[in-house]
Amino acid sequence: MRRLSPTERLARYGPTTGDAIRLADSDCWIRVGEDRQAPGDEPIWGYAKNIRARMTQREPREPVVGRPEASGPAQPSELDVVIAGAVVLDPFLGVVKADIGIKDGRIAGVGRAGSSDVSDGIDLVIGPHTVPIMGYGLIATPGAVDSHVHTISPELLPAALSGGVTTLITAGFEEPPWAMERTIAAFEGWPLNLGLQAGARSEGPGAAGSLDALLAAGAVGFKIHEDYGAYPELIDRVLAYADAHDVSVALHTDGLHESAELEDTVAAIAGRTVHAYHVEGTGGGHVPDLLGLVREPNVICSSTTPTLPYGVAAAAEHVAMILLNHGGSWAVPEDIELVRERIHPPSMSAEGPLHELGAIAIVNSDSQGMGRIGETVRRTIQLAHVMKAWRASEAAAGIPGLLPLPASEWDDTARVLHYLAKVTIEPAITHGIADEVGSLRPGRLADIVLWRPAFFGAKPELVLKAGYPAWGPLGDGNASLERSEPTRYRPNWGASSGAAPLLGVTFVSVAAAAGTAAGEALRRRIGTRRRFVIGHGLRGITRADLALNRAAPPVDVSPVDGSVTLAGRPLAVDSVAEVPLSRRYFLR
Amino acid sequence: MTAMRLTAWEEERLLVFTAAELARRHRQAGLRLNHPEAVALISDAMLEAARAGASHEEVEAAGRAAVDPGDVMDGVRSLVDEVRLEVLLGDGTRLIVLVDPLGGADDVLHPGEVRLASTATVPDGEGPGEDRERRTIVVRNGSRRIVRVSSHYPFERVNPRLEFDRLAATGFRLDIPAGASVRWAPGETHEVGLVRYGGRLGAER
Repeated sequence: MRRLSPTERLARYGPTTGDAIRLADSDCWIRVGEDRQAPGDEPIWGYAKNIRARMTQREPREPVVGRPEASGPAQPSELDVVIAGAVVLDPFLGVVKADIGIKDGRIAGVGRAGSSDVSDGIDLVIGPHTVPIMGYGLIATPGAVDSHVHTISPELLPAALSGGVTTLITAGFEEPPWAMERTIAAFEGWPLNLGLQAGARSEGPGAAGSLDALLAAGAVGFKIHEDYGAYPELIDRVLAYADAHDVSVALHTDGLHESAELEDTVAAIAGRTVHAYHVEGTGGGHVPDLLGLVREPNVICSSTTPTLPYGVAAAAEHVAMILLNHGGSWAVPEDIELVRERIHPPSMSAEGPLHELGAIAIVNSDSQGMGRIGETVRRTIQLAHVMKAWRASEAAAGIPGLLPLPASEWDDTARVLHYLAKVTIEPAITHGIADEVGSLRPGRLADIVLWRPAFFGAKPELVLKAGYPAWGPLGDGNASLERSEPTRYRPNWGASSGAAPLLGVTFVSVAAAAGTAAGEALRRRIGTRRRFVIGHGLRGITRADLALNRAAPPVDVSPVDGSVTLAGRPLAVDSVAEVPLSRRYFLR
Repeated sequence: MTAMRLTAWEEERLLVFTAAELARRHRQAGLRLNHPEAVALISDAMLEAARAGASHEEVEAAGRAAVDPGDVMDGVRSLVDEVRLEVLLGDGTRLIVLVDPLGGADDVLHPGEVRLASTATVPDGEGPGEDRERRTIVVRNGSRRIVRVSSHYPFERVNPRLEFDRLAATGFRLDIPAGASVRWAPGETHEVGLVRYGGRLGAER
């Protein structure tokens, strides 16, 4: 038989081992490390294709019996869904060409799907009740976890899904408890996972009771915010409570230095685990040297979309952004002066290199509260692109702990995984939900974003929530085929009010777990059909517990202008005037 | 009552129109077009041609002529690899699909491109999975109709009008790429390669 040429093989089955894929219009390339499909036995659906009885679909071994308790009549051994031949891009799995098996809304495996009757090495069984999704030529990533979301308006949610985000961890301002319950109820119709970090605003002897009430209303953690008080004593009390209740704490520190400076906040944290928000500083916190927190391994640092990558107009947009997000007024000169003091180009310039080092572990949006939820993934890939150039430049010379230079011009796999982890597995570990989301390892929710490589990071091809189509570019409803123009990002079936509660989960603390009195009472009050999942195992985490962004470098940060040095070398990237994944793709 | 009665389908026409108008304005200002702008202009031109009474072929031609490849940003010719659109022709609603309307191969940037590890074809017998037993048989189509057989059909069970040694084919399938097929015209004879199945069927001798 005439063998396929590599070009013909690419057209039929997509990339294989050793092939490199450019991510959208960026300079970042991923290289396929392994192909788990069997050459010649690739499962493929369609006219004259082979996902049929007698072929790569296996005949049931025993009579099919209904499983009324589960999602369908699929046998225990066969998949509900197979995504065939996708390039899986995952912080743990690397870059693997494989079939993704989905069962009961979870990842059954990333391997070789088909029928063990006709192929060797099958670990994922395609049966007569398996839905095939053709992933050939597509990239599959875990749905992104945005760990700094303000649920300001429901307009956020289409933007999140259209940008590949499927899990939201909020950042306060949904409380008090009666309002939190309504927010949780409002998510009933959205195919998104939700965990509320409720604002912790009490520091007195009654604080514990206040925090109890927040957990009973479904909080998965707490947020300390300077606009509600971020005093050392409050930090201490909330962290002590969190340690006793296994919940997360996110921290926006005292930017005024009214009660504490950087060293005082570090002392109040006292080695305990905390997720420090927008450590670049413009988003709020100790001015101008908040970045000093990257030295503390117990402080998981994140930074937010507006300054990533550092752009020429970043400083210009921030006066209005800060003022209007924090109750300031154009009519009050003092408000404007306060805001101006928060903006420090030297710390914006250091933020990219600190991400490159893995010292800032997480990118999140700060949606509508100084950030853009639809750009959580996009900005992260743009950052990887910009930092690739910086890494190869003289500016990076002599800085210890950087990612190694790529072995080839067309292999940025390590860099891409390092950055992808910042919006997937690192926030999942930090918030105690890594056994549910953040990776496509077996057992996790099948929250999967499929991307055409040409649109990677900018516009997804299909967003699956718990294995079910939830969102994507849908076209003319009258048309004889899908994706007829005009195509727009719209709710797929999984975003219908009937289906969404079967797909999205609500993360709560152990205090409001399903089966507890508080949890059941909450479920009854809001009438939820969503699964409650406990965020857990998150106290005592340090940066060393993260997947790929684990550094705690001994940087020096200027208390005057926020500039950062490491081993005597400045950590600074020039602001960029042009970014990829941007104007080529978006009508604006 | 003579209300306008616009359906969602008609409103969608307005969306294309608006996007195309914006694209025209950008083009007039000397800006090079991005992906959605180019797709909107192509779609709008086809809808307009259909509205004016053009044939299916003429509508396609209008779509291909709508955007000068020099008027788009680098990479956009490559991004616009297909446009799907339903237009209203004289005989009713019809589908038009333009493949590669802007000539993507000539672009200077190829977003999402794949760089192959090797461009050499693996010789027969040296590819992965090629240790399976293979044999060649002669097959004649005794039917009055065209018969096609795809890669993974158990060859001994194909259409009884294909004439060959069925015993020799037991446990084998066509040795062709997954999802490919072989065609026999009426009366035609082919010598075809077979490969033993993997898995349970391959192990049963």
